[in-house]
Amino acid sequence: MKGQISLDLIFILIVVLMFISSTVLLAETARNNQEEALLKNQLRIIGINYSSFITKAQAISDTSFIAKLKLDRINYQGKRYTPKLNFEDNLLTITIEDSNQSEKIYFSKDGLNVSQETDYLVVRNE
Amino acid sequence: MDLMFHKKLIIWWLEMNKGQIFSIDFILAMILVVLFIGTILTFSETQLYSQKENILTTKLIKQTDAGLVALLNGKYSCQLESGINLANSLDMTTINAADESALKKYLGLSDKDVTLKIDGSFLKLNNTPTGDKTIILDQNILTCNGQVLISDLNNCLRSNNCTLTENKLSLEVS
Repeated sequence: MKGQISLDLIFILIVVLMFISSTVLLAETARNNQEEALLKNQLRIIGINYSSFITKAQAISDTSFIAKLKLDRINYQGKRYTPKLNFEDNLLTITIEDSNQSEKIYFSKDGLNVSQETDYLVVRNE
Repeated sequence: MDLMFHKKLIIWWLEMNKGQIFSIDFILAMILVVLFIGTILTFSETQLYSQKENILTTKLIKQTDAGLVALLNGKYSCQLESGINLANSLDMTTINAADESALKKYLGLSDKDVTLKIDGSFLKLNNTPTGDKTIILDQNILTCNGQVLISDLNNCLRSNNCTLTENKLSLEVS
């Protein structure tokens, strides 16, 4: 019987290992959730700013103008991304590479020409 | 007799505790650790929810504000002879003739319930709010009926026979 590993020790080791692995899993899940929530918030905030920018540009639609807004960079998983803007009728969709998340927001562009030119959002009335 | 019974009980207790897996201390410590982790997770979830709610409210406020700016300075505002829009004004003739869905689209609020009131009375878009948040923006504006002449503006500035009226416009969005 001397030198044997007791059943108690094996049980305790199993419990401790289970506890450590579940804590690590919990921490990892929490970190991923935070990253996704952070990305969603960034997309939402810049989406609001861009849609407001375009909608408010109608206030000067009685003149010819070109308005440019430098796009914000988005932080996700330790990298920085330039958002991709897609304008479909009055719906703006914002996405980034390496993520399936997107944000959709309505805006108004009556008669205005809206596009993304590399790092800029450009609103034209010419 | 009682002393013997107690002695036996203690010996039995000590024997029973041999080879135990969990001590009471360990179980208490585990309960405390679980409670602590649970508290941290609940706090984190509450923070996330609160942040999300704040952003959604900000989104609604900014969309409403942008819609109001577009409404009062764009094609529904009073037009001067030169074709320039009069800032912070509303042409009652144009707005009354406007198609409701086109107006909502113009305000950038196609997916929202929108109500437009002037001096507390319904003007256009009498949509009952269905969302859990409602944003109401009030603004004092000038209203006109049809095109505005420079002479009308001059009259208003000199307080002579002003054809423009000052009203309070409310834009409710939910």
